[in-house]
Amino acid sequence: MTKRELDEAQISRSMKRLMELPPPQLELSRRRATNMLAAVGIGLGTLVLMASVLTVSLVLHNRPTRGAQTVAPASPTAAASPEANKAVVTGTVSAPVVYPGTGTQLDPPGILVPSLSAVTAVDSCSLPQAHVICELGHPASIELGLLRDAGMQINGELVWAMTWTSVSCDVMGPYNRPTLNPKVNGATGCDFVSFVDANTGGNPEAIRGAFGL
Amino acid sequence: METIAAYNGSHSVLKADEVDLAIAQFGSEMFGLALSITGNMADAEDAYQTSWMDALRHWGQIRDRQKRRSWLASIVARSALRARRRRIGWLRRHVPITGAEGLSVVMRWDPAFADALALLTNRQRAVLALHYGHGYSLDETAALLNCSGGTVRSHLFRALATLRRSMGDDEART
Repeated sequence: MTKRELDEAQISRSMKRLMELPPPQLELSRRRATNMLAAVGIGLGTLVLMASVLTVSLVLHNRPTRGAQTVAPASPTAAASPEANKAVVTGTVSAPVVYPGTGTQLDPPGILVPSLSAVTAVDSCSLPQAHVICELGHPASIELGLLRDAGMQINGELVWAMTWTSVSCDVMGPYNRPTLNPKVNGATGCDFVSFVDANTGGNPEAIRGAFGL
Repeated sequence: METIAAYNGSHSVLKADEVDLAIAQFGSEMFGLALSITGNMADAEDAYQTSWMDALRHWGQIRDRQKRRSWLASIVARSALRARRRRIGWLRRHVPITGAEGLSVVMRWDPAFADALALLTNRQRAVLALHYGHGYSLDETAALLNCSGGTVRSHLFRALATLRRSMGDDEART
């Protein structure tokens, strides 16, 4: 029997074929991660450290952050409405937002922390004695920012800006002289933004127009 | 405030897409690498899973997509070497590996070569897999395994000698 010659080409062929086997389905779930960590045997100190980091991140997560979150509407009135299941995107303004034609601007709030939550701001619309001007239904978004309006002498008031999009463009302005924005068309409708003071719950301003939000 | 769902920012979405793409692109050869180092399916699957978790944990560290393949290969190789060590260390507590999971059954296209491969050390198999399977040069293989070029050449020399001896003997017997 002749001795089989083992050349590099044969090894290469076999090894390359080994690299073409279908891999198993990955399970990158949290449970799998837990099992893996347990298998590796993480020390108690590491676990304590991880728990501390988790606690800090949870605390930070509960305050408004730059990343947007989806929150459920909390008011009982809202829950009874057909839009009860509609979630509201809430977050923090990360770049200045200018509302054209109104002289109003919303700036990033920096590290300021509001006394009132976004849900409380939304509830201001639903309470029987609502003291905030709102549109029907839940706003499309709620953003924390610093309100500036030179005309209203507002300079850096920490507010929740509740925005409704594609709402009706009501005629506004002095009697018989409506100041309807000429860019508004029937297809897109208007945007309505109501600013709620994030510390007092007051309603310093509300604007309506085609802001392209 | 009741948070019912976390918003996935654009960065996270991009990351998920990149990971899916990398798994589709490199999954097979990374699993092959794990399998050739560990020498059995069970350890290879564990090493493969662990290495992807390690990779995801440090995904941001590798920005150059050209280097992603070698970066993944080094993670998989390390993970597979560790898995093999764990297997040896915890042998008594593990279910014995059945023959059905071994290389000789998996590599049906060349069972004699698989048998010979099983005789090598895990580092020798790692060198063979990276050099012949993945096509890395010996110096690149050394960098991936975090050892010197001389060590890799030594592993390769011994591996080839063992393979030739083993397969030659097998052929002679038949």
